[in-house]
Amino acid sequence: MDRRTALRNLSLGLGYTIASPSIFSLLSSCKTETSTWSALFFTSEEQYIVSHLADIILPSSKTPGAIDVNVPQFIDLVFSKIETQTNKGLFKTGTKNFAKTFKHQFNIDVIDGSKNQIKAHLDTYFNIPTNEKNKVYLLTNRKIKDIEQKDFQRYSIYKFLLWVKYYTVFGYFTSEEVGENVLNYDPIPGTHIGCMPIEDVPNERLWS
Amino acid sequence: MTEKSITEYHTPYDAIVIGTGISGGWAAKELCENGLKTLVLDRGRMVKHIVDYPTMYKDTWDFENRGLQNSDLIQNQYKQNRLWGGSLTRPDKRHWFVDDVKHPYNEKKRFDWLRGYHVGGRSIMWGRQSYRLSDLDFEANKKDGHGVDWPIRYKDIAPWYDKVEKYIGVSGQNLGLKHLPDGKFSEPMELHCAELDLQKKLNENFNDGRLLTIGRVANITGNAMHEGRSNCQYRNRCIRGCPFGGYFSSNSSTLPAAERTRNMHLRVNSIAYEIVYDDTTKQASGVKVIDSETHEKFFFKAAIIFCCASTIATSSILMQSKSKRFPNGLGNDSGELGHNLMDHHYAVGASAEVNGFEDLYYKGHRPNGFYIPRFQNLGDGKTDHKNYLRGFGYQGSTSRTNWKRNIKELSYGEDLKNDLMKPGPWEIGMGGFGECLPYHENKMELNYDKLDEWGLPTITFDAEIKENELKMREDMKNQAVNMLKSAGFKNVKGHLGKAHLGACIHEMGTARMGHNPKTSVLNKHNQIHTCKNVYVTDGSCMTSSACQNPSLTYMALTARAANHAASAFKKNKKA
Repeated sequence: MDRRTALRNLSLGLGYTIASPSIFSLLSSCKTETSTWSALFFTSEEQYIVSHLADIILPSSKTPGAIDVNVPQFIDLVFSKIETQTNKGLFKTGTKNFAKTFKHQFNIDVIDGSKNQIKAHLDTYFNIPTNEKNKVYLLTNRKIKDIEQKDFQRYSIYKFLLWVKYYTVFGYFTSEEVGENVLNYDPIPGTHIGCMPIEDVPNERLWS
Repeated sequence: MTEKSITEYHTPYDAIVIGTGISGGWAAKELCENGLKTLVLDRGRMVKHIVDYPTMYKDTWDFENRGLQNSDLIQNQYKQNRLWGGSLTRPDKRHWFVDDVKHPYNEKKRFDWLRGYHVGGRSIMWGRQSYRLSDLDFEANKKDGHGVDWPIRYKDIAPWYDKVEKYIGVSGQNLGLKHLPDGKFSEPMELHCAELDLQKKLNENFNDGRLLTIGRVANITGNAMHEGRSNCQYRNRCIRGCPFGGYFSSNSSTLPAAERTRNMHLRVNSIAYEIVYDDTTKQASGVKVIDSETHEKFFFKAAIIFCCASTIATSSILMQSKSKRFPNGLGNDSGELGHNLMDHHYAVGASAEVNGFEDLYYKGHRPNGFYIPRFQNLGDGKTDHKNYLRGFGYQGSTSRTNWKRNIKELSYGEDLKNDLMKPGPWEIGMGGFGECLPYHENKMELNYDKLDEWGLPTITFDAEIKENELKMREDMKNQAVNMLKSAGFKNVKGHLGKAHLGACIHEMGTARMGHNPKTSVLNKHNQIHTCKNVYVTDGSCMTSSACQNPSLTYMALTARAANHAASAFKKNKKA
């Protein structure tokens, strides 16, 4: 992360500029991508996993990725301030179980795992046939109290992963950087055109 | 509660208007422009146009936590929060909706009572859809025997619809339909490509005259001048208050007009709770008010009183106005006050995916959708085959899906990111707005066992939809499904939710107009039959609900009644 990005990221939320004791170290050590900020909710393991997952879900390319617009910090904020106690607990359980199955696959702790290994492990959950995906949606749409013990580990991991997916996409597309500079930002359109060729819209992208 | 001392103002006003919402704003404007010294009361805080719209320019990222909020934060709005997935209590607009703990009400049957206690009332948050009623509506009660006959017909209100539409600015398309009369519209907004397609297909596939048109909406288009306001800028953030005055609200339009006459005295934090009846003059002498902040009581006198506090509040004030002559509430010889409570029933319709049109998009955020006018029981032989009375219309829209489209799916990566930046497939949704018959047993009552902070009785609702509405709802779903299927759209899904009265926020009918004081509260000029210097012109005056969004009719009736009152007042003065 370059210093400029780090500075811009500080505008994410006042909560961070006050809550983070490492704000100066953040500015002085813009090297590693995932661990230069102090979390409000995450443990260091959760922070490590979520940061890598967000990076994998929406990677940086010609356009910014999730890390560039502080998605991991946003997810930390959501679970710190918005989500219910039940969901907070389930999130933590799901992360632990994800770490457990990771260790089972690679025989190392997830915190020592590489991004590629985490991606490979994510694939065991995401890269599955459509009918299997549909079963997952049925499972995760159920309430926690209705889950049988034998399904619980799988349930908690998928809840965790789908939360990360949801808030990664949400946090990315509601960020100022993406809203103003990646999508087509036109806060006062002035006119309405009901039907126009998509090639007349810059980059054929969404209006933000 | 013990009667605290009350401060009496001896100098009478010419008129008092209770309420500053869509009706009160019009009463204030018309009375003041006629030269009447007018006291305008609102129970809530001041909201000045533009100055007091705190979220009008905010983007998603400007809100704390991107607008997500902890459920603890909205606990005191637990009833305002029940509609539309809680969207009314999101931080961009929750300040327009009341605190349910401070302003409680009771439900024998669920009733969603959505309120804004502030200057401008719900004219700030309204949906802006503006349709005229026709003689099909004004004659309906008389023809099928439900409720009582309206004491007016379309010709009585038509010039006032003209006046209101021209003044507030309504964009739309004239169609020459007898049952949905043409208006004084500025240029219509455009339909989206997929809507044009549905319009064509409806025309081809149905022979009962059903058609699709752009919504008639109180947003300014075209070249007409509207003092202090400019054209709609297509931000679609109307509900936050518009810095351009692009849509009509009391705050942007009628209240400034009243203010300019210097005849208006606007008093905020003023809860009107009783209209005082004078047995010697056989008229009302004034309005009793509690200051919401200091709890001081005042008595303001006036020659004319306009009740525009909203359906439920107005009826509540009249019910609280007990006297020797009117032991059951002012003007309530008929026993109908508080009864015949109606709303439109909705939460029924269909949605679908629209194939094709991938190379087409739109620009600007249109604060409007399409409208399918009523096509049932029009009295023309062709459409009169239904197993229910009256009818319904649809509102809907199409759009291209955005980045939320697979936010809950198991997918990731650069392709996903690039895909989500582009507009997704087209989708369409439409919902019916159905007429609700006036039933005497659908009512609101005052609960003197449960008083509010000001010692005033709370309101208990006891109302529900019945068989005619339930049968209509089946058809509302089925016809929506038929239309979307016949257009060739994919994955058509009908939905039929539970209809809770109040949820459409079109509550009306609790002090109805009629010919006869024995069966109605108001006469054809919106005067209380038996206390003619009190006019009621908000939704409580409605004799039937029709199926059209009602605000335009409230405004037209208010303008008509205010001019009736003002000309009588001036005549008396000369005499």
